[in-house]
Amino acid sequence: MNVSVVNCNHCGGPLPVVPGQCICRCAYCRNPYYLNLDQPPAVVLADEVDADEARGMVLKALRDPRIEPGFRTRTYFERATLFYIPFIEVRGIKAGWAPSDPANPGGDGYSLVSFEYLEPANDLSAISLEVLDRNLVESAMLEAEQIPFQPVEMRRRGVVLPASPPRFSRGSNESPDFRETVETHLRVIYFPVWEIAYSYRGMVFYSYCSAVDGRLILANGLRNHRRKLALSLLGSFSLALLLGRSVRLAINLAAGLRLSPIPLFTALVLVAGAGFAWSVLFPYLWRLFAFREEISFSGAFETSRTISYREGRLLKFSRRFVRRITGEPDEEVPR
Amino acid sequence: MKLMSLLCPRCREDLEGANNSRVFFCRSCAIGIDLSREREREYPLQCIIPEIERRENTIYFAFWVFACRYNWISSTGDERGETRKDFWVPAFFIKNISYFGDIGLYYSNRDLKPRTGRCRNRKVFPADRGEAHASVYPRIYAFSREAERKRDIVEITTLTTRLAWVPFYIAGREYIDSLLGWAYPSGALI
Repeated sequence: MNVSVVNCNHCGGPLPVVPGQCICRCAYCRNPYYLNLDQPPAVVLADEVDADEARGMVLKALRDPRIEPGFRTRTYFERATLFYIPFIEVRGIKAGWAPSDPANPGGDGYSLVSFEYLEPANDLSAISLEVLDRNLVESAMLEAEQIPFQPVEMRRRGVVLPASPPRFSRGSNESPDFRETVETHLRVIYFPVWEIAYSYRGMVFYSYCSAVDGRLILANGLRNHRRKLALSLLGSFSLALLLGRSVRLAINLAAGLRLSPIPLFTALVLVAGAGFAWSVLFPYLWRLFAFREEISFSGAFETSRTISYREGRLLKFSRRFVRRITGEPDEEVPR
Repeated sequence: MKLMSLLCPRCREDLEGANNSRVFFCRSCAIGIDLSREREREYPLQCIIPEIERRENTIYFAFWVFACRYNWISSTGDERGETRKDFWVPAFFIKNISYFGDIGLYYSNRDLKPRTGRCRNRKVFPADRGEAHASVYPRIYAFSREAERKRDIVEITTLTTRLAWVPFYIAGREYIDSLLGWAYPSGALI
């Protein structure tokens, strides 16, 4: 974002021209000026939530039962960063005939319709905020005070993401109709978001909450896998019990029939079954112990990904075991 | 990028307006200056006296008033005529026109002839719709009005253009119109 300087018409002093600001005043002779800018005006939603409150909101979110119980207590807060995320607001009015009344010569149905939509003016995947809900921004716009865009002050407080030109990927919210666009207004709105970084056993997680009203946007943590573990152990125990009962039944049956090949065949079948069951269970258990699952959630929305290959306990143990046998020194795991 | 002075060309006082304004006002000279076009242009400004008195805080909303003359023809083609009419167009962008309608259209349809008076020391809502945008609406309003009567507009001519400040009452999250007494949620206008 460039800040150019224009000279005052009265005293020749420099006028600070700020993107998005149409009005400026000469610092020397105090004469006011209007700048007919080529870019849309910009406003910022006032941030009411400080870093401590944002951290409190994230801590509250980490009490979610989906997160591992020890995660919250053993989490170390690294830093809090304020991001100003630009959105392009497109507002306009269309006039014409309603879709149900095409080419009506002189009937009613002629009306004015306003359309409005918000587009992120930056690639939000850079800060893993693709899920930022537009409704959240729209509701914040109704509540929060809209203050003029002040790049110097904002950069001192946080990171200002640059606003790229609008792409107009979305058209009107109406179905194709016979209305024509009468006017269109563009505006850049900067939405302040707190990014809270915290670490847990060397892994860094990021959560985001709105700096306008403190609402949680996205929380990240390790998935609570204890329930899964208990269920899998119960499943293994039930399977073992079932197999034992089957073996006993087969032996009794073979003994009763006095047939020699049947116990052998039964035993083979049972061994194959046990091998198959183990081959099914083993990857699951391996995955459970060796990998961890990171969960990202916000309200009902939930997504997860497998992470932390290095931190898998079983893998770590096996590596250490191999190193002890081979005599290699332990290497530091990069954190 | 063009730099324009925000001093009144007549009295050299600071013009009144906000960052997103396109039209700026001078109370003492009773003029409005449209800066949205390449060349600034002056328009006479009138202050409207409320028809409905209330005790709430008041804010002025600016409107463009276009005195127009248009020729119409009935859909059957056997009737023709000429009409002179004032069209009121808000000098601010209405956000939710689909839900709450256009105040300008209501004013125009009711043929308002409000009294004018002295400007009081009240806030002015930023006028972010310049004359270039607003001048499209008289044709739309006239078309909408005559379509109900099964008539078509042949030609429309703008005779004069002026600006008017209409007082609105601020009641919580609503703006109440002092001419018709209708309430608009603030979210509909901003």
